[in-house]
Amino acid sequence: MNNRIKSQLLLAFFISILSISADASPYDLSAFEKKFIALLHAEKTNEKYKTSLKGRNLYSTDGVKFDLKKEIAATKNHIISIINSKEGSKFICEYPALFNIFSKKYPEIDNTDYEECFFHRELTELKKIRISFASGYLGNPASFFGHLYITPIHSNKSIENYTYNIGAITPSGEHPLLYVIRGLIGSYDTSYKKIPYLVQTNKYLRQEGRDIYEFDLKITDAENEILFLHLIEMERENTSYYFANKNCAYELAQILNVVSSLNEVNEKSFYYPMHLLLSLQEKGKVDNVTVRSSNKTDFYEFYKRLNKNEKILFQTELMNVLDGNKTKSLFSQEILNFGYAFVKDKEKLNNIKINRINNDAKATPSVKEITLFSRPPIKFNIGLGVIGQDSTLTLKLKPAYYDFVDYPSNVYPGNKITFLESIITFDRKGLALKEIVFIDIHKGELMQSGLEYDNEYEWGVSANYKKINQENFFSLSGYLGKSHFITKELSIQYGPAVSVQSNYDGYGLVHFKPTIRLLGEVFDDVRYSIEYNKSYSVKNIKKNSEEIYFSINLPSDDNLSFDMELSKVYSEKAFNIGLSYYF
Amino acid sequence: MKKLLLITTFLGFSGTTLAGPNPFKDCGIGAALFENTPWAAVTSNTIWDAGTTAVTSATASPETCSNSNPEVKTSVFILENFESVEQELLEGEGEYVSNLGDIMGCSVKETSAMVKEVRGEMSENQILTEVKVEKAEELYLKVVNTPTGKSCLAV
Repeated sequence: MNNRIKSQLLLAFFISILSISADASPYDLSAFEKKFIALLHAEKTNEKYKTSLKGRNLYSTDGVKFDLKKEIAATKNHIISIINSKEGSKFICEYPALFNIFSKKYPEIDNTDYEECFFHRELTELKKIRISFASGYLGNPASFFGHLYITPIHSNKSIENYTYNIGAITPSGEHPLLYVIRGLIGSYDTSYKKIPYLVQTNKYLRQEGRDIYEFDLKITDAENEILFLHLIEMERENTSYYFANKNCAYELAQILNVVSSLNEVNEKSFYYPMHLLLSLQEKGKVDNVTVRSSNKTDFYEFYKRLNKNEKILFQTELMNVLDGNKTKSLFSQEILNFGYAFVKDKEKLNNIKINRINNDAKATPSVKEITLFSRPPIKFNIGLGVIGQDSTLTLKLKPAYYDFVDYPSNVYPGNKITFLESIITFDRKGLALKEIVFIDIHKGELMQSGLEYDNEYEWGVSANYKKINQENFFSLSGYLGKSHFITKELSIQYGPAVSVQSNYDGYGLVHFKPTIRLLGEVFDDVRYSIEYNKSYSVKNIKKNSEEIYFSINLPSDDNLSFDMELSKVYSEKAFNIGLSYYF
Repeated sequence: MKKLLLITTFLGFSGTTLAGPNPFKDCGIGAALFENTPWAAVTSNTIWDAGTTAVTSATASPETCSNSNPEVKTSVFILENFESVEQELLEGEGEYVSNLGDIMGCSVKETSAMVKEVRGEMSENQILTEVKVEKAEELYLKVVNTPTGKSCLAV
């Protein structure tokens, strides 16, 4: 392909990823019109609007696209024509938020207090609306970046409250690969399922072992009401679910848009739960954040505070309990947390449970206050450097959630999830694609105690393309390893990797790569990583090469950091220093 | 008289005697449990209504298996929240345990007493099965067969 065209395509790719789609100026619309569009989850397309709500009947057209003013007029006329009939009562209960805004706007439409509707009691008792965020989970691709759901709280008894869980409707037994593909292309419908709040909490916290962060929205009673009424409407609706950008976070943002003070701009190529949370926090809509921490987190929080002697004491007691010895236990609660998190052996777990019953202890507080994590998840970097002999300007886009070098605080350390990380360079020859990391997942175990049962291996998979000395290079690799803390600020990861890759310079297709990586922190803020691996060709062990990576990250605030990187891959050496922006 | 009371208490505490229906056996609670596909997104098509779920394989009457029946509510609550209920029973307190007592019609004091009784039972007779529904049923029987549990449900 012509180099000029390639360059333009690359630049266009970056711009499209970075840009937010330009809708019609929101300032042209009245407050009522904005609310109407929000209730229909509509987007502007040319001169018309298009609703994403499948199966929603519009009143001015048979399709999904509508002229705004015509649809508003037609809806008003429809409501007026049915208001005193049975159909009118049905409409009020099925589209209560839509009815609400029209009755407030047009005096000829009487208000109602929804007495005849099934949700009347919940509405009159409504106290607040709660947002919950379950932390990232590698057991389900749809949950890699965490999950959001919303709960109208109308009762002080948590058993009486129901959560609206926004998720893709997937057939059971779906093949994992098909699941990922269908999820990326929007082949699943989204549903808004009502689930008992306690059931939802148990599923994430105890069944999946995820931390749950929660807060109540700081909005007015009237805003709570319209939000609740819209949730009722959404019970009957479906949209299309896209893992990367039209997911639970996007759908929840669409719902929150009916509250004008929460107007959320969410037309991004990648939209994650953290985007919505940070946006709400920025707008001052986040009340005190509490966390329900998983057994694993509770245990790690406890264990990291112990000094050397206390750890020995704990380990001794743990061994006694696991063996079923009846003992006076100082740590019966922490051992229970440990057992639920790590111990699969039925008999040993039962010993732990009996130990807890026989030794009274204070239960770990189920809900604690915490400061919400503050670093946006997507990283864009611009830097100057050298690759080989050429000076370069480098642009790097990393739709990552967190990685080792610049991991934000309050995030479970050790995990890295990146996909479509793209690097383009600009030098005297022009614009060139330097690298694409199609996917890079590393499941880390940085907090491991090293105790028996808490001994899982770390693992990683990655697939990428890069240009090395102007040659195209593809690789697919898998890694298995361990990690240890040498000091509080320095950890080491090590293990073998296996790679299937391009036969670069006759080095062969299949490689075995012992890998070692140091991750550390100095001066509180500066983080670095040093990675070394030796790549041995399986076909000819004498044919081997080294890969060395060194990077440093210094954050200046929640949105900016400085980065420096040095690398050597085969014979190509590179250096880059730049500025990163998080969004 | 005291001996009679003791015997009655002992029998009442037995895992096999049960005053009301066993919703797991009689109403098919748990029979329609949704499949836990590891790759499935966080939603399911299960209808969260014991009345509907129960009818699929009920041998008892619809009234007995109705979701307004406290035994049925208790069994569904334990099944759907097993992990949290079990952990909090071991710990002696918590949100799930409070709600469990509430479903059964216990006061705060009665819930506390019931939890103590269940813990004693759990210490002596562990739940050995690995099958989720069976685990939930065993825990349910421990809970409803405590003297306080029976007394709460009887009201």
